[in-house]
Amino acid sequence: MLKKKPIIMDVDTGVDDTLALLLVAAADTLELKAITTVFGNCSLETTTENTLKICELLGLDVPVAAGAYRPVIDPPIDYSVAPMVDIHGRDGLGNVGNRLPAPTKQAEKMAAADLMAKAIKESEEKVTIVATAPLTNIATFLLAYPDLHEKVECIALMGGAAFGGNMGFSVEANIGHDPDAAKIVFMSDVPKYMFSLDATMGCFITDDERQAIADNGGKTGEFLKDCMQQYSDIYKALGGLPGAVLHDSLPVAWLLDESVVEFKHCYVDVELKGVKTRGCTVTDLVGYTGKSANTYVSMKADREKLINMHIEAAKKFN
Amino acid sequence: MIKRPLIIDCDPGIDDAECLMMVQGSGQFDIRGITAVHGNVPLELTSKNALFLSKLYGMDCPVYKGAKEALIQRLTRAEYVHGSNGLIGFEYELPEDAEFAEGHAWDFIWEEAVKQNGELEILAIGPLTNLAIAVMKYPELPKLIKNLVIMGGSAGSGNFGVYSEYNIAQDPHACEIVLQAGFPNFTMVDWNACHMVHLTEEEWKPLLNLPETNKFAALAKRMLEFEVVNKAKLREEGTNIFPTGDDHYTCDPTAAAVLIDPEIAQYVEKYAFCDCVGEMTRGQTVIDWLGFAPLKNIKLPVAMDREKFVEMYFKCVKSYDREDC
Repeated sequence: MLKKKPIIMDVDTGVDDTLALLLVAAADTLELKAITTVFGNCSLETTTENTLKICELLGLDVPVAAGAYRPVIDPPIDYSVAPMVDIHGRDGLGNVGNRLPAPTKQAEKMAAADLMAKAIKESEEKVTIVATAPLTNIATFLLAYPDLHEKVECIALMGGAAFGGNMGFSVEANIGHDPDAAKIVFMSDVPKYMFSLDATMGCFITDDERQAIADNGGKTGEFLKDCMQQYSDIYKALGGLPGAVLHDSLPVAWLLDESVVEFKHCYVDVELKGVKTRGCTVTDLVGYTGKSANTYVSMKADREKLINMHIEAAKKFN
Repeated sequence: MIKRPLIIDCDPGIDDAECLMMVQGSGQFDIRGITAVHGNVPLELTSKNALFLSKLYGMDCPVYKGAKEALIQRLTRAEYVHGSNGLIGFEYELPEDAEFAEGHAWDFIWEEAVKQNGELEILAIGPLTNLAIAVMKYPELPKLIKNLVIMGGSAGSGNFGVYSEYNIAQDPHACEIVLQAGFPNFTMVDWNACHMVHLTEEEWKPLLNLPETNKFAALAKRMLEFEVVNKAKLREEGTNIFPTGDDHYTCDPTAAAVLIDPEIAQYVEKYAFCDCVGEMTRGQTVIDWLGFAPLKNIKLPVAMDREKFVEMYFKCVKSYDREDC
């Protein structure tokens, strides 16, 4: 039997986190050790509750620990006015989260960084950390457990952009919500794969494909389809795209099939001082900084392959 | 044909020399004056070069000195591209009657804008310091400018920093002032756009053998020979930031081409600001790709017709064959 790849997920569930978890739940080649939650798409309270609900929906029986409720330095986000509500819904699950039963399990009574450390220590193999949220928990773990860096296979993070942004003109939301944490992560010696907007913006799901998830995935598929509705509508209206963009699925899809993504290996640093560029992942594709490459940056993704993975994954829940 | 009244704000600079060649060679413009600014080399040299070029190309226009330094920032110069005198060491003597016009660049720009009553166009191909001072002193200026074309900024990678282009990096504050000043028709020919046109080796080789009577001949020869040597050196050092091969890439003439015939490019209208304080993004012209901002302030070329550029370039070069031009 194929050896399973041990992973930890750090999430802010979130519509696209949910779809990423779908891929994880259906994967034969991944062994999910733990999930940690963080503020981001919604408040920590909501992302944690959502994560527990989605785990039960998808049959993921793993420990979940709640991490940071706010960025390391920037002030906490006021979710009563944050624009993420318009994207992920008031409940973070496209306003259909109330269709899921309240979670029966609770989050572990331990710090997110401690749960990560525990999972990594218990694993024989090096562990891959998939982060689809602001990097606050990851930064905390890296600072708190310097001895465990070498047991991290890599950090596969959804965030950043060589060009463009979705929070500011040149700022991506996961990085923009905690630039200082991101700086700590990019400064670290752990191998990094940045699944940036350069590739993820191409990963939209059309209405037909969304329907295919419903048609193939039974009640779970139906829920996922509806969960993406508002998210899809806003991408159509504001982004002029054919549907919702499944940013967070890309790192998981890459763990399942490396051919889904094309990378450039280059130096990435996080701008902290710019007034409106704070949180920009400065990606030195040409080599101006003279610094050695520290990150694999996704430049292109195979959209159809990625979407098909979701449809195939949904079949397992029929 | 009524010629289009134009002011050229420049920092010659070898590609400025090519750009001026095209603007004058196109025969379309009533060049009201040239304003020199610090940039590729210090103002003493850029202004002297501008004066020389105006005489070389037979532009019968005043040449003004502008700002010596950026509004706030102090940086080093690009001598590695433009040589020590800005014209890659091309030696010349100013004609005896050559002298600078009295007054400041920014006052001249304003007075001419008023005089032309809404018809004046500006081509700015250096740091935007002169224009920024003009806007600060005369806030009504933008409304009087029919068309502003600049070479500067980048919507993608830079040539000075990761994201910053040289002209803008020299004076980011000036760029931000000009971007937000409300010029109604503002085309930003950025570093990306400049990569969309070039002359292939086959195309530029004939420039080495222009008839001696052609007023651009000596300068073209010097420029291209220097470029070959320079590229070899940069390649050896592994610091070549130009696209591969022996093609002749050049910045400011791209802006000239857009000014001469806007139809050479396809554009998107976007809002942009210039970051002035970032540790790594300072001097970046940050583009609002998704449309967060409620307004647009620039037209950005996103595709250029290379064949048309080559044709235009050589038509302009040829105009200097005539003895009487």
